[in-house]
Amino acid sequence: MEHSAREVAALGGEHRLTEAELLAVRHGLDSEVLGLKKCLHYAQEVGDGQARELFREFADHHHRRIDMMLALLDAPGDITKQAKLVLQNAQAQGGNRHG
Amino acid sequence: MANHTHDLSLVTRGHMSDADRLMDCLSSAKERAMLYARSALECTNNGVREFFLALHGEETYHQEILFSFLHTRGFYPTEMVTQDRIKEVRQRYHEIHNQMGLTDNPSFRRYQTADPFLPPAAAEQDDRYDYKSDRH
Repeated sequence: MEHSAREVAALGGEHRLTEAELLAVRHGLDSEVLGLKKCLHYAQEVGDGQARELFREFADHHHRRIDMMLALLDAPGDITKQAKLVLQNAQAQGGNRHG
Repeated sequence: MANHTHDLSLVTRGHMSDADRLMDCLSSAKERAMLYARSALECTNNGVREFFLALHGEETYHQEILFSFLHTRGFYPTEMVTQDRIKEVRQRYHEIHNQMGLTDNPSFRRYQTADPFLPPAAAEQDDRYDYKSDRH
């Protein structure tokens, strides 16, 4: 699973995103963008108040995940560190929002 | 969810009902959960794998909320299985288990993960270093 020590050394000590991982991020972004558009659209159209709240909440989640994946792609160095950092930031923000 | 005043099945102007919209989001949530699970399985970097697993966890939570929303309002009916059906399946697999002659209890051995025992920076210091041989 993990890069071998030799591979990492060959990459200058950094773990880089692989082609398969980048493709997965692209598919994730496609799906999240469509999900965000749907939720915003449905929130305007829906008649049930609870369902409207749900769509708005999910729209925020999709928006946050798009930001997370873009932050992953903006990684300046080691992708493993950056991925963990993005997750930690998202969890911290979620904690502040709910707390 | 006792007080539901709005009819989710109401279709206006021949378009989608509220239930249709919720069902669409539920289907998308299921697809996305599977997408993130598959993505995690294809990851080389453990950090990215954890990233996708976290997204997978969030999406299954969305799916649970949407299912519960529809289920409690009667738009996603589920059928309980009868005791006879459970008995039938149990009997079939008991027979297979017995035919295999498994007499010993299963062990709790586990393979170690692929995480290096030492961080990559430490592994770089010596070209001949093999972290696998340094594991407990």
